[in-house]
Amino acid sequence: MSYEIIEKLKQEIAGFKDDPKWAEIGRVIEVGDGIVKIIGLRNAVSQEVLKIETAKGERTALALSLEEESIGALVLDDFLAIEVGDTVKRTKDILGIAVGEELIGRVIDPLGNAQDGLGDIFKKDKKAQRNPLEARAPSVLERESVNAPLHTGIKAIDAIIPIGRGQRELIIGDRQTGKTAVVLDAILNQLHDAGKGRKRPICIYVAIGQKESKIVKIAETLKKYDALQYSIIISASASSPAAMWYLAPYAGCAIGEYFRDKGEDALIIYDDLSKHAWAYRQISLLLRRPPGREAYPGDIFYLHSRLLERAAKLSKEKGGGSLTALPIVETQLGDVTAYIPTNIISITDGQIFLESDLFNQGQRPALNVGISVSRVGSAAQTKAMKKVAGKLRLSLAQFRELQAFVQFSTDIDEGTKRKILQGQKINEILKQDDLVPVSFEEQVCIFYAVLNNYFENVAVTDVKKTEKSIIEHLEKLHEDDILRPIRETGQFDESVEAKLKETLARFLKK
Amino acid sequence: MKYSTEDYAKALAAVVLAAKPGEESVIRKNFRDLLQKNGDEARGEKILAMVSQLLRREQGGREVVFESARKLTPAQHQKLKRFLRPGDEVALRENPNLIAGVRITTDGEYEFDGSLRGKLDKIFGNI
Repeated sequence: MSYEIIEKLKQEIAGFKDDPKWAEIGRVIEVGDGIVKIIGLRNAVSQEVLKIETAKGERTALALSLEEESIGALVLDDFLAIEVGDTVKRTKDILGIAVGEELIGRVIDPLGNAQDGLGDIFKKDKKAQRNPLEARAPSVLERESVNAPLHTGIKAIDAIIPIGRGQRELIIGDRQTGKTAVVLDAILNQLHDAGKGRKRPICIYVAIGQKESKIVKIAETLKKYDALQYSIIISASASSPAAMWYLAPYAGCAIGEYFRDKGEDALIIYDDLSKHAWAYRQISLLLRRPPGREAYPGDIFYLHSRLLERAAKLSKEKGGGSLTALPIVETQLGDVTAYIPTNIISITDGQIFLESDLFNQGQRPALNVGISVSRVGSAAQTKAMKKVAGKLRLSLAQFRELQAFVQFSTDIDEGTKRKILQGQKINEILKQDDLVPVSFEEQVCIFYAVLNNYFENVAVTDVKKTEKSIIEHLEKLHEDDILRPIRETGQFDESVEAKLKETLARFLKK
Repeated sequence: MKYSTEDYAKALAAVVLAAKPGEESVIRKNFRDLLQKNGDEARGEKILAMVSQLLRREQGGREVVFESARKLTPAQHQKLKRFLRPGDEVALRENPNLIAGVRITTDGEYEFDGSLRGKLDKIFGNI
């Protein structure tokens, strides 16, 4: 090791060419909890990387607040070494992150440093492309409407609240309601979900303020299910400074944009933006920006809107790539009217609402179908799913209404009884275990069966068991004539329908 | 309305430049009263430092600090003089941290680092 260092030093000294130049400098006049105030550097620009020369070596900071007499900067590494009077120099670089295919399968921090102990990400001799953390969102002309589905493998979502590639769909709910489980299923489902107009997206999971143990568990789960081969994890754990929490989503987005601009599809998950808002509030208060509602700064809306606007489906002229965003927001006691939830609800193209009550009743995923919406996803839903699940929302709504009504009456007619029974069966079908995403073609077949009363003679308690055996049967014997045609064409034509009818009738008669 | 340090300094510098001989004491007193009235006495020193900088700039001069690891010889001193312009205010400082060479700072805003410390930092920074 020491030999290597000496060799490196020798090389550096031999090849050292010094060309000292006049440089702009500033001085640190105040050091706070992760922030510094600097005087001088009149020409520094916002988001510029600054170098602070301390007694313990160079430290990096990011220019955030450009004020009349000083600059407020965010320290990106150990701020304890910085002292008042230290010299600050400009780098003339806007903060960016190295991007490339090499990031796939890795766990990195928001500055692009490897966190998984697998060594350097980019080869030393290769100059990696650097994308700025703050970039302009694609303009109207550069975009096109969302037109391809992104299947999550969660039946309730793919059937009722479909997500399209390039969409921004919020996942909102209290703590411990299964928000992360939903996005993990969405990542795992991408392993086999390829077909017409559906390439496998690169999945980027951004952990903001999560426990290290949770991040490790997620990485292990992805590895176990072979999903790490198309995933990237950006870790700004609970123990990292607010600066990292603040930068993590932008770093993830910059990586996502690399794939989007190459014409590929990418999926980015921000887990979660409430903590991101907390970090920004902390930074803003330390920089003495005026506090507003709930002590958040005035630009908290713009903080999230400019981030989420970068998720888009690009036009064919721009390569046709897409970046789909699934931001997560944690609510307190189901209060969706708090500041951050309402902001992000208004920015996104819909929300998936997870409820503690449903979770405790055993409905998992604990998705409230009534108030969850997807504003653009239905346009991207495959024809097969549209044809089959079109009346699902209506049937569920009718069932909920009738269920509430019959709680007060004893005498109910046969038709109502049948509808309630079918509703209960649909509810059972919508229940799903963690980490078991169901492929879209299997979902089509199951919804077809339940909505066309093929489960009529199956008891509500046996619905899950029967569903499992139908899927096994289809996988074993009807991959070529039923499942594959649906998967590859996205259609549910008459010949496939006839085959499925015949199979279901035969199977459920047994 | 709260005035910034720069606003005060610019105003005072303009008044000083336009002043006739003998008006200095009146300007000094009025300025002290103004700071007192606005409750900005604490910023007085900073404002005056900025005023002297502005006046120096107005006359084409700068505040130049030469830092060297050891005391400069007269020959070295002469060599450094070619960096200077008429009207510059020069300060010489010894800073053993530099190890060797010289570091020049003008107006606290620009720096020319010709020290050995700077070169070593660059070498180690690349490793």
